[in-house]
Amino acid sequence: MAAILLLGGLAGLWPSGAAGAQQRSGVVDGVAAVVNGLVVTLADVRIAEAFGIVESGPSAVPEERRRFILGRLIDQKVVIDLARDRTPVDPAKVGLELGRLLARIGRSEARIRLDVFGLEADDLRPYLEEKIQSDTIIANRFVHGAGVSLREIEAYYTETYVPAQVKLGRTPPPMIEVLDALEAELQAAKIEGQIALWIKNLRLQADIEIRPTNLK
Amino acid sequence: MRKSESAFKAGLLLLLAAGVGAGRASAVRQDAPPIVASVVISVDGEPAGPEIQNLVTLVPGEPYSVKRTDAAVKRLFQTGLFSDIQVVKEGETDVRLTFLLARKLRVRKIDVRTEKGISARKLKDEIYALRPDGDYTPDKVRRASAELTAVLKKDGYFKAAVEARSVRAEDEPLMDVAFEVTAGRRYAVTRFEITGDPGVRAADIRKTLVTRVGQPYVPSELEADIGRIKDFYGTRGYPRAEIVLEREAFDDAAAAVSLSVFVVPHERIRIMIQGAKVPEDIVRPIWEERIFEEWGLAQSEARVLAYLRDQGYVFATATSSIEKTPDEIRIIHQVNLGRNYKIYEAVFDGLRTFTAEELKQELGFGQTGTLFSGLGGAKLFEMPAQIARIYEARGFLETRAELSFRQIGPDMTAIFTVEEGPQQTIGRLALHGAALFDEATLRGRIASRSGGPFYQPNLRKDIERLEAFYLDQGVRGTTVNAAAEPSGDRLFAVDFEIAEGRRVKIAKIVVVGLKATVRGTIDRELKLKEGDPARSDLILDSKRGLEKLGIFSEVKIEEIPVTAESENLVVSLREGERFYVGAGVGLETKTEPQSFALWDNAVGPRGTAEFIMGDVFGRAAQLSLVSQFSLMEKRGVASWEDRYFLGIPLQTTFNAWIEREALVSYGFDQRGISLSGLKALGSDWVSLTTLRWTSTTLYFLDVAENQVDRQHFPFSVTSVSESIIRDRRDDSFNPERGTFFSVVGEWAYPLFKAESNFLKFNFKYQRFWPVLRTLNFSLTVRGGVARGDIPIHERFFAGGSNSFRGEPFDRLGPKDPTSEMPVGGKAMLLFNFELHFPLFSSAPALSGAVFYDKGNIFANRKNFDLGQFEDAFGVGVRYRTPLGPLRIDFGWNVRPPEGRKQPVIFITIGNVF
Repeated sequence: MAAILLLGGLAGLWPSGAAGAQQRSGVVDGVAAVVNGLVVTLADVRIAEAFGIVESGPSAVPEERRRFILGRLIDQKVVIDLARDRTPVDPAKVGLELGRLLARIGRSEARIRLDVFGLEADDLRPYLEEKIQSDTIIANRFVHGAGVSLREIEAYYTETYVPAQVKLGRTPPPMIEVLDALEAELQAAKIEGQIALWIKNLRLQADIEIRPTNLK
Repeated sequence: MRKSESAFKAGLLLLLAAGVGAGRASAVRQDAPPIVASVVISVDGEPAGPEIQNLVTLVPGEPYSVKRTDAAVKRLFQTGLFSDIQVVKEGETDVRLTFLLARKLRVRKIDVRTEKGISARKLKDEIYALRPDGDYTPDKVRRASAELTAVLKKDGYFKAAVEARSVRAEDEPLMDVAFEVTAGRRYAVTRFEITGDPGVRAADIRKTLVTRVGQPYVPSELEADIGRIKDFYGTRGYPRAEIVLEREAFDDAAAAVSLSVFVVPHERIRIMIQGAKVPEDIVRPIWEERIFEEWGLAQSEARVLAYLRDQGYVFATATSSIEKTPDEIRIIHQVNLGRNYKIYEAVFDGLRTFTAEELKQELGFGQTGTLFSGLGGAKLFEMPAQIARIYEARGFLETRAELSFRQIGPDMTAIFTVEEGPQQTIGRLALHGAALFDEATLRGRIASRSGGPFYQPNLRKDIERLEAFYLDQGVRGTTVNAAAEPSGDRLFAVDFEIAEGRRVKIAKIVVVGLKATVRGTIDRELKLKEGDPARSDLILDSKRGLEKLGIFSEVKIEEIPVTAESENLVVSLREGERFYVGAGVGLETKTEPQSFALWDNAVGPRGTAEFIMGDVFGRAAQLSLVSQFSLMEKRGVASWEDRYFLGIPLQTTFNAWIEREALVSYGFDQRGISLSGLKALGSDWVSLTTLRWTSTTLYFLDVAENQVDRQHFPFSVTSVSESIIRDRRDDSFNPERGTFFSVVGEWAYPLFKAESNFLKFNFKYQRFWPVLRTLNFSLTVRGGVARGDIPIHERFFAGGSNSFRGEPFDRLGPKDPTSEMPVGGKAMLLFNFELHFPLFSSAPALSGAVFYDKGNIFANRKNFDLGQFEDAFGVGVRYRTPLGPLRIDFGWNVRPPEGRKQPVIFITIGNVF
């Protein structure tokens, strides 16, 4: 029953927006951003949104969501462009990712969405290739992880973990039992912060022009 | 409850059915997809012209889809012409698309307005984000404002405000940007402390500083002060002194700032180079930082030895050590100098693959000539490694080269003993995947071959060659990979895998940006036409041709893919300035100065005025009007230059002139016209053909009149001349190496009632080459012969700063027995030898010269006599300028005319000869 409801929801919610992309009058495409001379169009943003190619952010407001998606697409471009690491992506890897994406959406639903944009499945390859390339560059750059000291773990355990457990009504386990988990958690958070800072710096060096009016 | 649940399920099913129905309905609609009914394009709110319309690849009648529309948007953007694109859609089945394009804006002018006391020019120079003639975007303006704010902050204006205002020019995509700067108040330094352990009196340090109590605080000055303190300690042997701005405390209310700089000198570094005179500066930078000392010592010793070897002490050795006390580190290099040798020759032993000459050329000292040019000692010691690298590229991975020396008299010969070792070779080479071109063609494009040397990096170059070849044949999307596998003892099997792209043709050529220039001028330079294969080499040639026209400040050719097999070429041009006006004034003396008392001479003004109009009639032709006036000459010249002559690609110049010039023994009025065609013959050779008509009247003549030299009777010449020129100098204005050769033959025939009837040939050969490391030698040989009735103004003359420096201008050669004035001649041979040398190492632009000139002018060929050659020697000083050297020469004739004791002095600008 729940599955039927979810399907119904997906079928009912997404196509209305997607069909809008195909049928509605008004601005249907245009320059959304220019990143070091490379263009990101409104159609790119809509395709990324429709197929979940990048994160779409927490907002339910379409314009805000598109801004968020545009931000991620810009991030990808600056990472690829300014990192100057243009290792070609293995087409097989792109194929695999495409297969996963179609499976995740469902073949028939994917077909509907593709039709909305007049696309074939292979037309999604460049989007996925860019994402894989950007993710690979980031992964290679931060492959060594981030060091976390025992003192940091201890501070996190005392100041964050224990209060959170107590709030949930649980008895916090001794630190030694959750040491590895906390270390992994802290490491992930630290790397995430480092990546965000790195991308922020790349964006500062890049020449970026955003046309917010074209996202409406 | 159950009933209601069933009803809910039924409702859901109905909803889903409705959804499916809607989907089907949608599918039905997609069976008959919407069609593009019309495409409207507007640029900056105005309807687009046909060139822009050609750039939009969507056409009415084709199916509408987001994908197609987006492809059109991306292609439009790729042209680089637009900063913004919006597509508005109207209608459902018959879709009306409107492309709203905004042209890319450029900066026309940047203006910085400041308050009194702040240099607007300095601030303007600090703007990097925005440049005149560069792209304009609001983001760049924001960045430029931030740059200005940062500069102002560094200058002590912490509360400065920068307001930018951009105004668009009428009818043109140009922006004028003005920055209004409000400086705001500054902070006064109320306290300036030097903390830490300076080791010297703070007052001694303060003496060197600009930042002072009571003065406004300028961070850039403080930064420079920190550098000064660093230098203060550096010169006292403390290169590791730590100087940092410790505190910068602002008091907003009082507009005051309190500063403190932390200073610790750390250990003293003493560099002791014993046994040789070596400047410490060459090793000092190594010890400025805390380094791994063993490494530093090795580096330091290597620099000392390299320096000494460069001075000719090729056998110098050094023993190095470090001594430490709590306050001092001593770096000691004890040098055993050995004898000083000049090395003029290098010998190679053990060569099989190369000849000695080939290897010398590869090593880069073939051109200087080993007989005359001393080899740098330090460079010699680098050569074994260089030789090993050269062999490596030929597949010899185990080559060893050793340097030794052999003494021959006072000189030393460098001997490179080379053990080549075994060579890796390609046993089998195969190309796979090529269908568009035959294998022999592709093999001809690469350097690798079966039986040839194998060296992995060479394969990369071959891949690039193959990919470039495909591009040059109009094939796009080709990728080439190479794999090499061992196939035997030092044998490799090489396989090139070619994934061929597709042949791409030019669908449309769109030219944008033309204002005055006509399209035909562009088409002449385009080496491709619509329907041709999109050959990359021809696209590049077309771009170069357009740039060579000299009328565009920017030329871009973008390839915009339309389909897999076709692309559009978008030629985007920006026309430069078309009108130039110039004027110059100066002073001249009537004759060469015979002493430094220039003012005894007749001094008068000299001036030039010119007007140049480029891109005349939009044909990239140039019209120039030049007038010169001075005591000795007055001239007006009109020139027309075109890259084509009657549609033939030939650099053509048409000149018409009228002039009056006073020379030593005659003065003339001349009117003339000429037509010249310049054609490149290969990379260095140029042919210049000239048709000329002149009518010359002598208005004074200080030599005896003869049949052709008659005062007040015009003498007209119609001639055709051919010049062949080869210029291989490294710099036309200040050559240091290379050669220049020209030969000119002129035939003047009595055509159109012209009196002329003569033949004239002359040649010039120049060679420039370095001698030893700091000297430069130049040689010029000039000769000429003529026959027939040659008027005085067509004869050979010599004497002066550019021919023979033992005689004043035109004074060499036969003279009129009565007036003693030169009459010129029909034969000439002149030699000039000159040696340049630096005068001061601190002034590299200044050099000295010694010269020797030899030769003469003879009345006729039959008078030519080597025994009659005149000789002159002299010294000079040169100052290098972009227009050639500014020269002062003192020339002595070995056999001067009676009564002349002083040298002839010449002050000239421009290259010798």
